[in-house]
Amino acid sequence: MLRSKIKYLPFAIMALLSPVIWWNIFFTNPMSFFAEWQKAPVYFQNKTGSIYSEKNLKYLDDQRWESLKKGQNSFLSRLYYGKPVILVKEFFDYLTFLSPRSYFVAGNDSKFLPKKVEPLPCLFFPFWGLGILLCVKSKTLKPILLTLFLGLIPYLTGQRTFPYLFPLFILYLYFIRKGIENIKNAQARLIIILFLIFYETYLIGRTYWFM
Amino acid sequence: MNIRKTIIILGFFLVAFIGGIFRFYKLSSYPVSLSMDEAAIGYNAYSILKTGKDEHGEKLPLAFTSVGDYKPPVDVYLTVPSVALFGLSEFSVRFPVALLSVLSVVVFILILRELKFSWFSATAGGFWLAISPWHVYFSRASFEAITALFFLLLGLLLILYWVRKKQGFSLVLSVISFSLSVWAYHSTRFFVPILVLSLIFLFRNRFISLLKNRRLLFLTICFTAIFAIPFIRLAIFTPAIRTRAAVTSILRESNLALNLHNGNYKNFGELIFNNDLYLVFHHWTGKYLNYFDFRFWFWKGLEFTPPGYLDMGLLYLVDLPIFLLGIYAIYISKNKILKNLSVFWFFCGPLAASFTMNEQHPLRALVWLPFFGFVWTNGIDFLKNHFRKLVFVYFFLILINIVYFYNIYFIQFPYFYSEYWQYGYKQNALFACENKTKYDKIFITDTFGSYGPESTGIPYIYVLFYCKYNPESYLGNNRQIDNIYTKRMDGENDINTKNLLFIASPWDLPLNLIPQKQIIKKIDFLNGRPAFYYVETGKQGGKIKFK
Repeated sequence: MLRSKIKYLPFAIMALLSPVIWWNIFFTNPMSFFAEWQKAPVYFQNKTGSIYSEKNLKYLDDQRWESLKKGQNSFLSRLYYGKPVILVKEFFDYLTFLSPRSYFVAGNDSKFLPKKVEPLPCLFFPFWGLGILLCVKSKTLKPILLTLFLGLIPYLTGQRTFPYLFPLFILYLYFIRKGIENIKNAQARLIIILFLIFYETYLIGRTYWFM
Repeated sequence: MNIRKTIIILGFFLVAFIGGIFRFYKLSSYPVSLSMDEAAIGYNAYSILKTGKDEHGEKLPLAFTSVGDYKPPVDVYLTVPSVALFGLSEFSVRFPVALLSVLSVVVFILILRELKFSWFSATAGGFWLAISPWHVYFSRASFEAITALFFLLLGLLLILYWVRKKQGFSLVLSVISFSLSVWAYHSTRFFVPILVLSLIFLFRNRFISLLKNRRLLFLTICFTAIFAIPFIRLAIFTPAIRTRAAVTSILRESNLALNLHNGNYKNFGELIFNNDLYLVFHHWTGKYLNYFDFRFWFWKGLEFTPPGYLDMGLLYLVDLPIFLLGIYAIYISKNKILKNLSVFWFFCGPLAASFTMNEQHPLRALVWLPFFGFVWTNGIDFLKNHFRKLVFVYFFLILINIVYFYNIYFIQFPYFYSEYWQYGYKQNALFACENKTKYDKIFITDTFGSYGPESTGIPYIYVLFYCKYNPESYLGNNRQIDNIYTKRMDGENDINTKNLLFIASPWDLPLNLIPQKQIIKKIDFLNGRPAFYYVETGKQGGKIKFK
């Protein structure tokens, strides 16, 4: 039991040293989280209201090819440039909340993320991808389905801040752990973990230097 | 010939035919105008045909100076026979690349066969490439990346063939093909060497056995040297190779360049925690990861319309589930070569593009296309083997997507972006040539745009192209085209000088001050916004005052 817990210790250290985690543990007021969550209904209302906003509908209108010819809208043009297509656009907007760039490149300079460093170290990215593939291969689909489901929270509020993204950060750390664990050679795995921890320490130094 | 072979050959031709339709249908008219690069390629090919020299007078150059961008030579030389056959026209300029694009479909089918796909799946993969919006878009506008991709695919096919059949001739041909790919476009200069190294690693046993075949080894080295030595000479002793790399490098991006220290650090802390190495690495990581974006792949990658409008991804929307199936199928596949190639291409495909300016550049990332082809083919293969009826559903849905692509490409794209293809310069050039004897001088503006002077063109190349200007005369005249000049209208002096014609944009001149009778013609962009005004000054001069 203890051995299995020790096995996870390096990953726990790596998770805690990830800028987005330690920044929000040590430098963010927990009340800010509640303040953000309190605004969720307003964000949700704004977001759902914007889907079929006048602006979006005007784009559709412009594009119905008959409109471009200054003629009447045909059935086919209303089919291709109709309201259901906006939902497809929204689907891809939703996917951007899961996109690796939001997690492995510099944060949005909000109070929930340290400036000038990435939320999760960018070197984690290949292990993140590998972790997802391993879940698919082993048919461990729950984490993936959970990711897709929890991704709806930031999407429906339109917010890319940590209070809305943190479940995804935790899940992404899980995938990263799975990816690193897949390295069969124990020595190589240890070297990689140590290097990643070293890189995270560098990021801490960088954040402190900018403070 | 048995029925199976007949069906296979028919499938081949059908797919190539479909690819031909997608690429040659109204080729002269869409895109709606020749781009600057196309006009430059066309005229330089014409000049080579007539004089053996480029527009600058250099004899059979290995890099075309053009407008200072040092165009790779392969496309220009491929255009020479096309111009000889069809004359100097939009069709002759676009024909070679469109043809190579169709041939790419055939080569891709053969590659998939070498990777052990069935004939059905390989032909389906060829069909995917034949109708691929990503490939079709760039195939219709003489982009060098398509030529480079063709030679890259051909080189890959020949290496796979050599590995299987042990025919030495294939290896030599693959060297030539890869070399031509390097010569053809900038991003393959980066990608091809790492692809070759990966192939050598992947088939290392086969390449080790090459060491025992001295004749073949000698030939391979010889042909590599024939192509590599001039390239290296150009890279080191001329600006031909360096210029483009320098101009498009991410180091030139302002949000990075302004933060770099270039060796001047204020203190030790800055040297450690804010050094240029980290800044560049971090900036590059952002650009690289930007390419792994479903919205770029399936929704907005080709940017046929402005932000906010519905658009087209690199792939069809209906390809999304096939793509996901394909990823799974490759992962569980026992085909090591396919797996390794796919992993290599997945990570290395966007590398060359990630080192350049601009976010998510579909042209510079075109070398990535084969990865999506491999995945898609795996996906359709998996679907065929496990859910056969859904294959028909897919092909029905792809028809719906194709109709959408047709509308986006032939109607929306020209409407929104005609000016970015220098629409109007053809008319300007033709008018200038037809009327040059009527005026003392003709000035064509190089600045235009729907909503402001946002774009810069090179009008002289359109004049040379459409007027089929004699290259000997052009060079003999010190590169001056009779009485036609590139200049923006500039103040009262211009408008009051007699007997001039200005082909100007609305941003060059105060239209409200110019008498209407002096504006003899107007060209609009396809979005209805004014593009160019043809303003002639009086035969006696004028007395117009600008406030």
